[in-house]
Amino acid sequence: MDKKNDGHIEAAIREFIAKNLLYSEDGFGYGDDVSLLRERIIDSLGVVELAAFLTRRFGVKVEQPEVKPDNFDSVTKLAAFVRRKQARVETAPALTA
Amino acid sequence: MTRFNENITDIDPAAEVDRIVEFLRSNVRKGMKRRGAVVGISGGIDSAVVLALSVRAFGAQNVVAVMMPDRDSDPLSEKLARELAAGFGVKPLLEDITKALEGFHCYQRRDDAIRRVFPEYDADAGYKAKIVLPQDLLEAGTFNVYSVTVIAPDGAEKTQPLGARELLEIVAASNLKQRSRMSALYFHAEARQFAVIGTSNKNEHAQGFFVKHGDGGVDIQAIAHLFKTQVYQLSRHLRVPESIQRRLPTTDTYSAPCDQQEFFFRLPFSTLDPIWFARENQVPISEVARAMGLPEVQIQRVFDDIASKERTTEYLRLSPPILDAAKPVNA
Repeated sequence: MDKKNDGHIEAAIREFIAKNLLYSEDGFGYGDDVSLLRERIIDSLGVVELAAFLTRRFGVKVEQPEVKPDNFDSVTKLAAFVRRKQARVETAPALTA
Repeated sequence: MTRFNENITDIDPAAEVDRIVEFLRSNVRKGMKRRGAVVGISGGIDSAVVLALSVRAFGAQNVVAVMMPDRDSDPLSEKLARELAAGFGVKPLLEDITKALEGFHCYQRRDDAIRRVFPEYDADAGYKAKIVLPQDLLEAGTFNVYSVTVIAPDGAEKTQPLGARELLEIVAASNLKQRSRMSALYFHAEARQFAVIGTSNKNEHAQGFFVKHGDGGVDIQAIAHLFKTQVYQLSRHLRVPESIQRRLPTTDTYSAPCDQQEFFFRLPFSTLDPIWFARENQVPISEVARAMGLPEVQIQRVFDDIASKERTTEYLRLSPPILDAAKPVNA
């Protein structure tokens, strides 16, 4: 498996949600494609906590217009969002030599 | 059923007033054994309609109207509340809750949280603040992520998204206002054997735009089954002062002016209410889109936002769970 898609982002997101949003001692317990909103796993506050976690853990800056269901409504969507953001940072030209 | 249209929430106001008056009388007098009603009046449309309904149900002599401003309140609120009470023959009582809120450190706690986002914020120097949601619900299906806006004494505005800790602290501090008002209302109710009548409408109650044990702490809900647009219909029938009917619905909670659309609902009620009605009555999205003159994707965004708010605020409407009786060992 590609190092960048070895599932470690999904695992970290699952762990964060389980501990900090579900208060679960038994792990995440849902599929990666399950809607976090529909299952009431996250609310607007959970979204803010998730955005802060993505910045802290993966170094991606989350802009407010990006905080939408297309990017935040499942573990899969969150991980894909992180990978897109990381790829953009890596391919961006350096500002200084 | 009538074909869906943008006026689908229209009701017969006279019949609805009679139904609510009977509901209040039978529950308060027969059910709760309470003689009259206590209503907190804010100068807004909801409490105006509830005061008018309470006067019809119990007579002006059995209704207490309480104005409960604090130092952040718009002075217009008290002026309109007095005008309302006079129009319905009720002498209003004034309970300024500023001192109670200072005792709870409401302002200090809220302002400390705001200063972590905007260090220059200084309420004593004339800065004002409010918290708001994105106003592009129809254009973009964004989450309900709050931002704080501060307005400097020279009028310059700055807005930043709120972190979880700051949002929680600002909301928790601000909610002390509604809970202090609830305490004041219950003082007047218990001192007279009256009931506290709730003033939340359906939009507020079902979507969670109220404070648990604050403005949600009441004995009976008079208009929690009515869309805001229906409350306006009742207000015209009940002859609520036009100055109140014309007033833009406001939170009147934050020091900066903040209307309910920017704080919570994200849409005008004339758009939100018929779409919500359609969702509740399983009207096909294509029919709603056609009648409202909006694309189907925008109708779906409103459906999703309503569903999201209903789900995520369920906790507010939940009564404290209680276990069944413990099992006796000697039975």
